[in-house]
Amino acid sequence: MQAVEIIGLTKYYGKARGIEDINLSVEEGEIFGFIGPNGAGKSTTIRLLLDLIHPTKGSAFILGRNCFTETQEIKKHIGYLPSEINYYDDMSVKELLNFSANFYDLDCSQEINRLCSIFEVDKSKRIYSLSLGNRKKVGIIQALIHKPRLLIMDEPTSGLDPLMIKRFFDVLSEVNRTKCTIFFSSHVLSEVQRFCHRVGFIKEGKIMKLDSMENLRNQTLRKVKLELNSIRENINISGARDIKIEGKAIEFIYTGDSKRLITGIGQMDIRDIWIEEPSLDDIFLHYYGEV
Amino acid sequence: MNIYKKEIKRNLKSTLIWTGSMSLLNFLQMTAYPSIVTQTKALEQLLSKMPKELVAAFGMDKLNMTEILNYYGTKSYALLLLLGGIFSIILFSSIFIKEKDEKTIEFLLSKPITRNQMITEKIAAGLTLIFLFNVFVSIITYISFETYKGSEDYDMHVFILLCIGSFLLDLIFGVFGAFLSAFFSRGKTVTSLAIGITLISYFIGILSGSSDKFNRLKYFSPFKFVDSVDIILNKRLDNTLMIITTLTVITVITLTYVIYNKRDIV
Repeated sequence: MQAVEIIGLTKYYGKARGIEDINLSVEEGEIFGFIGPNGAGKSTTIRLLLDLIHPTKGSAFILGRNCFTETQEIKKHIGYLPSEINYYDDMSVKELLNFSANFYDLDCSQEINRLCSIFEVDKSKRIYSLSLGNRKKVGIIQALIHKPRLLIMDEPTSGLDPLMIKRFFDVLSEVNRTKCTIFFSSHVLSEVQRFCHRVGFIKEGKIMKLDSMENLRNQTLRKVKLELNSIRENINISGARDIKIEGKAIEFIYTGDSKRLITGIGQMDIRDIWIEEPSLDDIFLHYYGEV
Repeated sequence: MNIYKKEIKRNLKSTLIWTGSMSLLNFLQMTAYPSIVTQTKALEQLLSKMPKELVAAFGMDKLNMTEILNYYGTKSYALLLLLGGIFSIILFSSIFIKEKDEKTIEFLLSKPITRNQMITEKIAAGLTLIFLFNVFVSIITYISFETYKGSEDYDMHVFILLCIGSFLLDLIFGVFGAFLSAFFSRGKTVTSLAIGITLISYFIGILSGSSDKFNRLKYFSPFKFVDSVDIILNKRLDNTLMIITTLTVITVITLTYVIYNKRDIV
């Protein structure tokens, strides 16, 4: 079954564009990364999935159920972490987590204790006294306590320190092993690169590309750096783009046949050469142009 | 029940403060009653010097102030209606608007509940609190009646009608508060509007009583739906006005549900 299926989903806020004709599906058990700059429509898509906002056009399904008519049933099985964490200030962490747990017909106390100790959260503290990072941790715990089948997380790592980010991804890997699907949005590319099975690039409300992480890295998209013995004005290799020349150093992104690349480089007076797998940043740049 | 409990807990403190202050105010007003009775003549002289419109506006022309119900109806009760109305509209609007203002609504609606369920539980919590407010204030007022009535007795039936009237008024303003919060998304806007609406309808009420020319205006002021002079003179709640009250409450609640369901949670 598909964990998430989005068909022709469009949302306008009055005349302002939210998203346009998004088509997307995420398999059960998959980790899907949703990438795009601020204002691209990531949060809009997520809010539509949660029935927080109403679509202008199109449909969406979670675990086979209609997001806009069966939202209550769907929400029994999803955990949601919003990008901005806002909770009832006057509650303690314990009260908030219990309040959250009471919505599900489950005993979540064990899971609450376990996650609070992993993330080093003091349950007796009041929400208003928590730092941004600690609030985020409470948000993460809150999204996980009822063992959801789908986790929707909007910018989950912002505000967390590196140690907690590591623990966070450890926990996510662990829940993913129990078949939990993870759908998260981010603009931190390295974590998506490390963690996701598949990514979707979104820009100006439209999906630019959907691909498996592996494909993206293998798509013979190469980052080439050369150091020459003499200064050249330009290079003549078809398939090279984003060419940057600084004195004797040349840097470019190459797509296409590897042989042609080698032949092209072979004709130049090179002193040193680096051919690297592109980082997602480069891929990102490749799809978005200037970021 | 989860949201209901949370709202009761969150708003209990402010409800207690309002209830305490209102009870105290009512009680203190009553302590002055015995001396009013002895000074009736002086008071009647004073009233005769005041402009007729002003005396009529506060309903003091029709009632004999030396009866305890009349004294209560024209003084404390009027204040109870005004302050109770303000309390109720602020309570209901904050029960709803705080979720939007503090952006907790996103968290709440990611839980397995429908918006309708959420609205129902919140309205139920508000109703419970204004009910407690009215019951407690009524009990204290009853005690003050028993303490200061002197040798005269009063009509318990009318007293209870006044208590019901106060609750009905709070109910009307309460649902308006919920409605405002469904319609607008900023807490500041809603609070100012809520207090504004209450005060304006209070003054419309006063205006409608000041002369026959403005009598029709009473249909636009909930304060006149449960007017103490009417209740004390007729010993009943006015049928037409009760129908208007019921229709208003039902319409406003329905609109609250409809609008809340249609709105985007941004």
